[in-house]
Amino acid sequence: MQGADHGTVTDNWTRNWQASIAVKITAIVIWAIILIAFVLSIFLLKDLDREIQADYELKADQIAYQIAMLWADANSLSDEQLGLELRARFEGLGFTGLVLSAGEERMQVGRIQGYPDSVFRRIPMSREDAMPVDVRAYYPDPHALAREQRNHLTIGLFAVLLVFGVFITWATRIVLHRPLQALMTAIRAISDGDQKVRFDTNRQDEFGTLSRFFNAMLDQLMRQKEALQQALDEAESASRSKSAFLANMSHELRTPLNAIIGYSEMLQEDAAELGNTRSVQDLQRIHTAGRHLLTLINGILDLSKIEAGKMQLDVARFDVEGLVQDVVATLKPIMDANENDLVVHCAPDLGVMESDETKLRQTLFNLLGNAAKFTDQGTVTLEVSRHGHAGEDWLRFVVKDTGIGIPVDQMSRLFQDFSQIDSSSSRKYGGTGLGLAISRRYCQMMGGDIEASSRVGEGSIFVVRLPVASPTLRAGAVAEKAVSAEPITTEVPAVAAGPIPAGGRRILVIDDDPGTRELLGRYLAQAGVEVLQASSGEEGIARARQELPDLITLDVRMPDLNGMTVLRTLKEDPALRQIPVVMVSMEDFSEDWHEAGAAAFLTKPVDRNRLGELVQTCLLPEGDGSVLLVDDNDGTRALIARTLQEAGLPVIEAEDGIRGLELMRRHKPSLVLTDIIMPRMNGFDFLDEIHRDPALCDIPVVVMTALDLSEQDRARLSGRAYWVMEKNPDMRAEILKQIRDCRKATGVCPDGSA
Amino acid sequence: MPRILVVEDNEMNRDMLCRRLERRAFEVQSAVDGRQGVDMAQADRPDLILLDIDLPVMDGWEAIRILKTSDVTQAIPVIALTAHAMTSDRERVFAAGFDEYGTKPVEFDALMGKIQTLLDASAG
Repeated sequence: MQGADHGTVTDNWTRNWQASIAVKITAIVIWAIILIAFVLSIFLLKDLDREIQADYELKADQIAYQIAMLWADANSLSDEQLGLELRARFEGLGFTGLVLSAGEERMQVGRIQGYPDSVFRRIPMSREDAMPVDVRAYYPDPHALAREQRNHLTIGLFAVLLVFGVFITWATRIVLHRPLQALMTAIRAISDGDQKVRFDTNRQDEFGTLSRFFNAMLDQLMRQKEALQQALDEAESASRSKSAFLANMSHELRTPLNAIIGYSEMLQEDAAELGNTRSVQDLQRIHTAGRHLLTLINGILDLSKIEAGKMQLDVARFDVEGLVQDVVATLKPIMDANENDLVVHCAPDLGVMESDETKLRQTLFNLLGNAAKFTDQGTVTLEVSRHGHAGEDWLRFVVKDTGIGIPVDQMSRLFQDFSQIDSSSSRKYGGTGLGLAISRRYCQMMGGDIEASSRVGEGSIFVVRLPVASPTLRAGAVAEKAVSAEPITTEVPAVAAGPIPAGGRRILVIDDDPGTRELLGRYLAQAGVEVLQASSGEEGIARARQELPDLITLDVRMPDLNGMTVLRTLKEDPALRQIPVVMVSMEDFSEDWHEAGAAAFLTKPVDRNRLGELVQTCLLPEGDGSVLLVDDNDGTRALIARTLQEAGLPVIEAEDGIRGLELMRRHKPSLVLTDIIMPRMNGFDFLDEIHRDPALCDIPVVVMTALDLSEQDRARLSGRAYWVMEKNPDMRAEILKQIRDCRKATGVCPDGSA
Repeated sequence: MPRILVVEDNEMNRDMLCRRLERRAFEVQSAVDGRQGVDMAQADRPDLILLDIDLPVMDGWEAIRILKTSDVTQAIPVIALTAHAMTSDRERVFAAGFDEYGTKPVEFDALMGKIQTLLDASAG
């Protein structure tokens, strides 16, 4: 069926006509006017000349009658007077001239030359002796008359219709366009996330109805959202209750198990003393079963604690090799059970680790135990090494075995709760299937992870990667949602912060307070930055001159020279002027600092994430042909950033307009790519801000949008945006093409060459 | 013959622990709650105390505080018996003044080792 497409009524005619409704209506009205005028003129003017001729036939009777009347008095009039009287009469009726003849007598009044059309009447005289008078009245060419009238009529018609058309257009704008515009504004606000917006329902027309429908739909959506949120909350709370229940239940289960395990052990000793070997075996079985049940329950308890967000990291410093030796010694009997060899390679530089020893021990024990369990008369290898990655030191524990291996289709389920590769293996090899799940959660809590690879029949490899210094994670951060979790240590503020990526640079910390120096120093040192310290303004300036650091953090209040004096001194020194200075203060930010040359401002207590952001921002080189990418969608940003990076362009990323401006002021990128719909500051405002700033307005901005922009929007972008591009799957190629096109203007070269 | 005081409210666990310790030639006394445990410790001054944490009347934390602040009992080594390896409890156990800790269900051989070490240390 044409026009019906997935339940949406469409018609190709209006869809293919790309114009705003106002334009469409105006065009329709103009065409309608032309058509109406045409039809009207055909109907009105069709027989105009014949009508004129018929009209003169009627007038001929009138003129004949009037002449008859006049003739009666003709004797009292002179010829001249008669002529004038006649002229007055025929001219009044629209004739040009008359010829009267009675017998031989003939009289002509007015003009008859050049007027071929005439009417003829014979006026009989009342007196019998008198001759009848013949009248021939001449009139102008009816075609010419018709033409003239036609012209006047057409012009008048057009004028009237034009006025009418303008009125119609104006009326439709008021009746259609304005309410549509209002609807669109409201819809945009809603799609921008304002959930409180409702449409104006005061109108009684279809727009009112539409608005009411929209409002009903929005209310419905809100209700559904609330219902979903409620369901989610309930589910989360149910999940927490479940975990709490499991934790309690596990506790309750363990008490009777204690007795079973303990008494069976005692009875074993008794039976052995009495030489009752059969009972010893049976009691051994009860004991083993009890132990197995206990492992299971402990596993459930651990998992439910992790899920309830109650599992905590117990971070302490410990010797890595010592731990490894310890684990290996404990595992000896398990290795011997299946006649496996355990080979251990420890790199010489393992050193100490700052993490949760118990959890690492449990993880290694689990992995090595598994390896031993699934390997017969083979070799289990443990390799431990230390290496640097992303400015941090990491430890790598590799557990290899030559056992049965794991089928490919089972790999994905490997780390899931209660998943052994199949239930038969559970019967054959024992175990709870919880070990790997718990181990992985533990490693994730410690800031690392476990990976596995395997080949059936050849063996498996499990790799554990852990940062040497465990990040201070919230307890249960690995659970889907951390619930009522408390930070474990108070040393470092509890932010789930990644490393500050700023390796290989030197930062000078100027602060009189040793505590702040220590804290900043530690944060920065974790980022792999070399930290220089100065305890006073004087010393700070001296060290800056001597060391030329890449960045300076400066306390605002210090006993000798205050921060402002130090900042001014630094900015007056040509050698130091380029070094960005981050002000650190308890007080709020003040504009004076920017004017004095501070690059950024940081309030105490220092937020580690903010510090990282600032350091990264300040350390990036300026005006290096980089591209600033502003988009709130992480996925899109990553995609475009990769495209640009692959093309050799340095990319700076920002998630909204405010951050975008901050980075622009800092780096003066050669090109900016920006989204329109963004939180905090949207694309339009972002462009306005750029336009307002003389330092930034020269930087070309490419707008990427998934919106269908209105004329108004485009008008707002014009003169601000270098180019507006629609977001679509092929946009990456298009971006590169456009960047190439504007390379001359911007100096940005996608292939990396100048 | 070394004397050991077992403070444990669960009857089966108490009975089992006492009997197994007696088999290893210890003189064993038992108490069913923290209050009774503290009283007996002060009256009889055993060589070592096994103290459950989760106790009625007075819990293990309160009991250890009293034991370790009293001159009479301060020197007696006390082993905490805690539920399944509460890693975060470990620190707390030592901070509270316990000399050692053992997890429940009791790994008897491991516990014996700890008892022996503590007795040797206090004897030496």
